Amino acid sequence: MNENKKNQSARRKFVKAFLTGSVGAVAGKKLLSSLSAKDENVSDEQITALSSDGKLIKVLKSQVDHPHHKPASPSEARKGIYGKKFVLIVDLAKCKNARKCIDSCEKHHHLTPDRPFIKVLKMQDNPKASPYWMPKKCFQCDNPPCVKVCPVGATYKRTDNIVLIDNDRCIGCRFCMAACPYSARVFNWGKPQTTEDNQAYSPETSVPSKIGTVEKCDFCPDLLRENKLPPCITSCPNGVLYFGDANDDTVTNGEETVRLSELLRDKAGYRYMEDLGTEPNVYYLPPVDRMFPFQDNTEASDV
Amino acid sequence: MTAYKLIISPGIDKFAIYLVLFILQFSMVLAQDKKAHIELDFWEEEGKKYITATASDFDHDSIGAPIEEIELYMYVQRTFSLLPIGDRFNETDENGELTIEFPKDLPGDTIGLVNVIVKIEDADEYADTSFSKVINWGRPLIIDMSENKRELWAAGASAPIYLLILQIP
Amino acid sequence: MSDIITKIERVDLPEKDFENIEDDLLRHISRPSRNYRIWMGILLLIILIGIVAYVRQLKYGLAVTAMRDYTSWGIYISNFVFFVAVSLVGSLVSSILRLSKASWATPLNRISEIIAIAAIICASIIIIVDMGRPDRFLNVFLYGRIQSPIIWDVIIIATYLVISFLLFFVSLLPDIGLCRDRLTNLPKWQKNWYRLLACNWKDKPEQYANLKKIIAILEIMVIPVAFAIHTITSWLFATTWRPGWDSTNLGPYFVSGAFMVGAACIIIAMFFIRKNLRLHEYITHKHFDNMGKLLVLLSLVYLYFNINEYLGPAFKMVGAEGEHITELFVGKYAPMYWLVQLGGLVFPILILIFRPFRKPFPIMIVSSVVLIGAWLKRFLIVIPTLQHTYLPIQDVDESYLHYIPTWEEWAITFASFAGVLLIISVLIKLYPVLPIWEIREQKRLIKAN
Repeated sequence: MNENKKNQSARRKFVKAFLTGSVGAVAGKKLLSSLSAKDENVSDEQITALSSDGKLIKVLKSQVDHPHHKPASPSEARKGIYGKKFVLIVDLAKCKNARKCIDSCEKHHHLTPDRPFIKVLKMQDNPKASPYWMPKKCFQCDNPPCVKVCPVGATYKRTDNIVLIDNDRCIGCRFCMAACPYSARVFNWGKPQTTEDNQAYSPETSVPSKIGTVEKCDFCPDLLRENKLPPCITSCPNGVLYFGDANDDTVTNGEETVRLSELLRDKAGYRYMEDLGTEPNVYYLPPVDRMFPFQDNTEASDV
Repeated sequence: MTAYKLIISPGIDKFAIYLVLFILQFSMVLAQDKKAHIELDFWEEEGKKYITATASDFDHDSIGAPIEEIELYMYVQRTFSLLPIGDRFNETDENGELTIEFPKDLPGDTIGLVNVIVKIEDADEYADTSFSKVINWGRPLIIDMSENKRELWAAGASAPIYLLILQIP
Repeated sequence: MSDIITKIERVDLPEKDFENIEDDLLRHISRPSRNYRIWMGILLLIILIGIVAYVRQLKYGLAVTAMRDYTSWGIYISNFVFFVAVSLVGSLVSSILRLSKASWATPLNRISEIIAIAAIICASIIIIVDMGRPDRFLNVFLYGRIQSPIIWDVIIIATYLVISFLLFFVSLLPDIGLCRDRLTNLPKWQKNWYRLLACNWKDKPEQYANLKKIIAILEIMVIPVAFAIHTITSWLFATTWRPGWDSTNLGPYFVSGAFMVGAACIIIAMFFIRKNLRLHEYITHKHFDNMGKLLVLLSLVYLYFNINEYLGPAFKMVGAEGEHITELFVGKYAPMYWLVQLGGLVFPILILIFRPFRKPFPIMIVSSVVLIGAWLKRFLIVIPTLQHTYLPIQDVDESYLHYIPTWEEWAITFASFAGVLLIISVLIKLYPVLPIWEIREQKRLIKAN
């Protein structure tokens, strides 16, 4: 009897020790491998790059320099990034008004809260439908009313779908603000507080802000040139914003990558106020099949 | 069990057990970091396109036995990320092969090239690795650079003709 | 034909001989009187306060105004529309009335052109004041896009200014000749100035013939330009998707409103010039009577377009447009709206139908009411629309929801009014305010018959 008990306890001790040991060993190995450089793949690591005439070429990663590009000057910024057509998809079923997109955008563009590029609005389509949160920024329209009315061509449409503003040319007439039906633009009424005064101005960064000129969401072309996603996309904790290149037929929200055409077809993507004829490049996925009910969790309210 | 009991003396038995087991496990795990090699085959049948990935052991620069039941992640390289292709979970069969269908009508570059990438990630006995191959199964991209189309929203020099004519009076 | 002309003109013009006409109408071109100096002093003071306000605006940016991201256009723009509306008086009187042979209006030709020129100049100034970056004003000419309605407005305003100025100057030539010849006790600079401007006017019949031909061409040219100028200004609003602006009716609505406010302006000008320059025999009760009838006619046309503008949207009450109509009819702006429509439009029509109210003083008061109503109407056209966007306004500072102009905006607005009055006063002082040669011509025609 005693012998059995002793055996049992010994077995238990052994199993415990075995498990602890294996966990410890695996953890130790991971620790080791993270401390040393990941050199298991270095001989295989090739990356594909888009050559200047639109062909895919493969180069060894180690051979490619990743310099931090100087942002494009106002005259260079009029040309779009070759071969791209950027689009944004907003999945309204997932938005919980976390507002991390607004915070990261504010930080990236050195904005103050009174000049938001992104607004998250509480919308309700009709009295019987549930309210939902709708993030809204500039729709980068293909038939842009703001570009049509600008008297000096300070705002312009690029080949990569982006509508940019050249604040070296803007005269502050605010006709574009009156023309935009989506209230996407904000104006620098006073002197913008910015600490980046010594940075060269580029329409692709919209930094530094200039007094008496207009601004809006610019899809962060300075990051796009380096194949990086804009900060609003990656900072969303709920994966609401999907960004991509329509020429690639792919969008990603930082974690999940899907085919654009399938996403819009399967989830009935639509454009806000489609019949105004502005042809936006931002699509919304309807707030159906939600995993959680709508929560009015901020002081946001209609006025 | 009994053998263990016999060797160890009381007092330091627990510590000794843990230490020995730790070293054993550690060496086991380190030693199990095998390298894999994946071969990519592209073939077509009845108008559909397929990719077969064959995973095999890779020992000191020579291809060894096929690996069965290992999970392979297949992607196509896109601008910002990797687009997953194939099914949700792709496992090799007993021959170390995995066949998936290549998506229809996927855009490539201007001459239709796409970069297919297959990865082994977080596998039990194999180190993380990735292989890629470029194939021209993409839809060729037609880049329309007609910036100078005359539109109401174009630059001043590209204004519609009727506006330029009306300017005269 | 000739006895019809004789009949009308006998009632209008006094039986005076030529010399006295010239005396009467040139009398005011003398050293500035004390009243004149006080008047100019007040105007300059108002303009000075406006300049101080503008300097503040240049330093701190447009943040000194009450305009914010939603109400992005304010009283600068509504003032601009108002001035463009007033400037149409030039084409109304000196072209339309002249071409339709309403010879009673001949004395009013010059003053209407003076008002038109002053209004257009101040409209251009106020639009530069509204720009966020006036230092980049030249960009409009360097990089102008012909597709933009603002560029169309710049072109048409420049064209109208040139034609109005030519109409003013060309029809002034004979009278400058007169000034050069008759006025001797003037400072030297003024005499030289007249000699320069007179362009060798010698009072010859061929010169008169050429003059009339040029004036006839200019008169015809100015009418489509006048219609175009206010229609294009209306397109600054009608080419956007804003409730209240997205209307096909906006062009005629603006133009008819402009003619009405122009008529009111001329009546007020007539009253003060008549009083201060003692021209009771040239601007008679008949003039006020006729202008009053004209004002009623133009107001009826404007009333028609007003009903047209609001009935359709009010019947349908679509979305943001419905909210806008509600706000105007029964909401925040209802008191101002009904004051303007009833007090500034319906009331003048009703009261001016009666002859006693078409006497100089009462009609001047009524015209002032019309003028104030017209300015507030332009405010109601510009600001309430901007506060009703398609997408809801949420999470903004309290100041974004209301638009109450700041003292800087009022100061600059009043300075622009003072600017118009200043230009008018200067031009009246320098030149005969009534076209002497035209009145003399008509006198000759009567004498000949």
